[in-house]
Amino acid sequence: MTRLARTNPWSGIALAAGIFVTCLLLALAFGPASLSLGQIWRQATTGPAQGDLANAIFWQIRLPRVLLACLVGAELAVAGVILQDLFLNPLTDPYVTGVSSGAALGATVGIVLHLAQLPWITVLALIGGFVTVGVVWMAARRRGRIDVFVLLLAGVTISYLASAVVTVLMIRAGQDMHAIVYWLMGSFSGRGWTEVEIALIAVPFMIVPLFFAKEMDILLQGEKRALELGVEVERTKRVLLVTAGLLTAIAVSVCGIIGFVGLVVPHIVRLLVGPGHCRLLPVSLLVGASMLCVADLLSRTVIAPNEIPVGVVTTFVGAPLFVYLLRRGRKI
Amino acid sequence: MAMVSLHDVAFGYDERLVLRRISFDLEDGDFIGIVGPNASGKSTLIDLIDGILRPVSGDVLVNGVPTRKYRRRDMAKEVALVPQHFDLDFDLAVREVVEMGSYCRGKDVGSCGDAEQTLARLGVADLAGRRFSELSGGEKQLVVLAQALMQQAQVLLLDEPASALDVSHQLRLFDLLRQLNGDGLTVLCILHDLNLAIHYFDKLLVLSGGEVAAYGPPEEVLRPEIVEAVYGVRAYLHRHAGRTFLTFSPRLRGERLGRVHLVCGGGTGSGLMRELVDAGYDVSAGVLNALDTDEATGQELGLPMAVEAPFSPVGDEAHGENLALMRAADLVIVTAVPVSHGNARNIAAAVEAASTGTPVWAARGVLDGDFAGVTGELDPAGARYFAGDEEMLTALRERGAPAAAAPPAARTADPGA
Amino acid sequence: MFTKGALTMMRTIRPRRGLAALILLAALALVVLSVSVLVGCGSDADTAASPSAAASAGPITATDDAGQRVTLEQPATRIVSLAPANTEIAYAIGAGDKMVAGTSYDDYPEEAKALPKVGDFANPSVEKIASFEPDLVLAAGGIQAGLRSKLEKLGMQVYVVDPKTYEGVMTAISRLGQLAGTSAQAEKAVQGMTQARDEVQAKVASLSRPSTFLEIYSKPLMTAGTDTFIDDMVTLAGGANLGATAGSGFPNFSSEVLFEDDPEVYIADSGSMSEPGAIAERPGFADLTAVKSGHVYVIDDNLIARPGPRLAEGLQELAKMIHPEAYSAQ
Repeated sequence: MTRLARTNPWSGIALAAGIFVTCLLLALAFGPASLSLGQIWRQATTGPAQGDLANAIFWQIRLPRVLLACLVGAELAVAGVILQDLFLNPLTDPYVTGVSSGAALGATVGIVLHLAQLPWITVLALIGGFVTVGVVWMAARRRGRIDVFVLLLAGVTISYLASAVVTVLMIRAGQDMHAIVYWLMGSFSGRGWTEVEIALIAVPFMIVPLFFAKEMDILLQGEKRALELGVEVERTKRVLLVTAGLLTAIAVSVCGIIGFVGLVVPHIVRLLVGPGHCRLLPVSLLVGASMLCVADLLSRTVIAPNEIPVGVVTTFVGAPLFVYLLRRGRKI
Repeated sequence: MAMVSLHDVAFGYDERLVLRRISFDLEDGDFIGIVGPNASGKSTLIDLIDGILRPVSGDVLVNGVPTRKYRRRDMAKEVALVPQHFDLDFDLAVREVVEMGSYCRGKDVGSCGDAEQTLARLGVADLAGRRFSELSGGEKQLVVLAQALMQQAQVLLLDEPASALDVSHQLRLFDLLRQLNGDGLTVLCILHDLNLAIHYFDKLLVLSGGEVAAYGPPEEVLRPEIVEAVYGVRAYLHRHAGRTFLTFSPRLRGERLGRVHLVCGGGTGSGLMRELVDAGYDVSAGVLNALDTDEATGQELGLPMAVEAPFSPVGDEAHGENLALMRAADLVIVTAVPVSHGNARNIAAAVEAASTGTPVWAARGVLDGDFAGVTGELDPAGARYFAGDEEMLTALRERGAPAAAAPPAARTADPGA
Repeated sequence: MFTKGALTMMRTIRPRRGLAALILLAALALVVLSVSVLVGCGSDADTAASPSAAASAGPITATDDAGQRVTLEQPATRIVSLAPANTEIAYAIGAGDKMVAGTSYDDYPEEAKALPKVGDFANPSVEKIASFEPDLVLAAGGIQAGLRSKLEKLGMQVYVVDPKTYEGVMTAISRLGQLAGTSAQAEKAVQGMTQARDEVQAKVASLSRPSTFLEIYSKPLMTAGTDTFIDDMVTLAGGANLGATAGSGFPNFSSEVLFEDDPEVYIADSGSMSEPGAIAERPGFADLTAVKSGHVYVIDDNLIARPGPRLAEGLQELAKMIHPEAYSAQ
């Protein structure tokens, strides 16, 4: 498959799309509720309706949750691609800019102030994430240019700082400590259409990087070479870093911190379709969505009605896959 | 209007200036090399021309417009740069890498020419389908050159493109650059190999300590004294089979092997001249007639000489110069030069030098070729006789530096080294 | 792979004043935060309660909920509690005057708030505990399990309160009464609990069990499973705990299964930050039987989550929620 993906630019994307649709359908068809495929089909075609629990299960619980998992998976994967290729560092994940800790801080503040439920806590998380991106950004500006290495350091530093503040608030929070801990754990449980709406905000931001595919390819040779070849490097970096920050902030605010996806999906996809961004970006988007969608399916069905934290599942699903691909010896 | 024009440009980081007082014009069709020691600012100069760096003072103009006014894309259409190092750890195909060069041309890909065509122009069309990471250093260099050519810029800047290449790739690269220049490309190339610089480039810009040390045709600009001043090594210019080249020897601090003055002519001294110069001695000669073979060699090596007009006997002035040169020398060597009335005074000069204590060595053959009957004076003056060049050189090596008046430190230097 | 790039970057970085300032600022902030935490806790130290008299003869032994035998030569005179529930028990059994320290979460009874603090529930300071020289430490299970050995090494007696049933809470109260030499008072507390249970049982025993869902947290959806006293209480209150199907402890519960199983009663723990009105408005919840019939409630977390004497009240509350019909007549 990989050779095919390399020669024909569209085959990789088509294949990924196929995988995604399959995963989506599987996730919609199966779940902890023992509804048959026929029942699912009936509810799906009826459209949302009142008065029928099976309908509510499909339309209010399963469908939004599956969509959310897809959206978040896509957001994290695209953010991961952007950051790994801007920082030219394979260990970069979307949280490295400190966004996740900032979002966590925002949510913690909301919880401690007893702002009941959504959307306040999510909104505060979003604000926290955006503010963090801004602070890290300003710390990394040198003579009007963004030094990505300094950005990385600043992001990690502020990440630790924000986490430390969260810890202090947790200790002082008393009973609310549990709420904070649960928020931090990545999970799709209890999420519904409100979260989906928030996650949908990210959709245009997922498309933005596609317009910079050529520039991102050239930037693989380093910023100086990109300047020499005619790329407006600073402007491109600005757009891409802000995009990655927003994508991550949105993802974290709706479901907490889910690790592994943003780090590993870009690598997996590079191994399959190569580093060219015209393919890397859309395929990562689709693979990220698929992976998280399947992970969530497993997390809610394997020990139903109990649920496994989805971050655990992504690691168990993603790690062997990644190791297998690495061992096949393809160059990243 | 010059394609690239620098006027009193200075550049530095914080308080330290890396380049200063750079004024220089690059005209359409030029094929210019930039040489200079490490850290003399060569790469910085190229980055300034390409607009990557902004001068601290002065103007860098490309097609009459200051570089700071250019958008990157537009600059890339005017100036292409081939860097010394290029990092690409990713698994991209050569074709993809080359095509990145057409980015600045945007949608007018048609006017760009194919990646394959460009590679073919460089003679490496077969690389198109390979993975960039699998290529050898030389092949990668050519691919990056192809990438730069895709920009279809009028000016090509290269930063030490041959530093990682073997000899055959080096020559091939410069031949290619000459070809491209012939096709209309203006080329400005940093290189470190001075002999390649002499051979290939019409003009050389010599940078030293952040300033222009010289600018002009290679032979003018790479004179031994300039090379010595700029690089701190001793350089010798040689001509061989119609080509000029430089050889070098490190200049040892405080070293002074000594000065040897040659009384020669008719080609008898040329070999010795070269040997002595290579061995590290200061050499002078006289009196030689202009157009004499030895005089030509002396000219080539840049030796101080007492010279007389062609076919004329040694005049007072020349004789006086000769005596002065001998006085300044630590050793006088008389080669097996035919002696006649025209150059008899040279022998007299040698005798006089001997009487003041300067060692005089003579080749036995001079006695045989004496048509003026003066060489008899040499022996009583204390001259030593040798069979020929070889013996003299051996003796020099064995005896150590004949620099009688040299500082003690120099005596430890091995003259034959 | 990328390491060359990263290494190149690392090699070319030069000390920047701005970044150095940022790092310094972060370190400073961290120090300030740490100091504020330390200052915040235990500021009112050393106002230790004076021990009361009444030492009866002979050593007292009791087995705690971790299965360990706890032996005191004499009834405890200096007690440190490591959980709000244990503090409540201590006061309920009449050993309030023997309390020398509690946790920063202790808020019942009122006097408990004035106690010196040893830290929080998750991470009490061992040194701090030792500084009060207790002869009995009331620990909880779970996170505090690792503390036991540390405290015992320092010579303290530790009683772990970790009951899995309502009955178990009563047993613990009783045993602690022995250890504190306040058995009489303890028995009164136990009686109160027994009474509450009997009352509730009397009302609901003959009624059918509506399926009941007790929401411990909403995002993620969490409930009480088997082997918890909350589960026991729901059962005692005449309900069928839906959470029991998800395993033991406090499992995450699937929303889909919640809908599928459609409980008749939905009770949210106040710590889960839900309000009854808000619950009904959750997407799709309008179709749940519990919502349609108006059987959605919020219960005070402190009444059902703390294994102490107030569970009696909690039990009664639960019963009223699960079987309102058994109470409305009165």
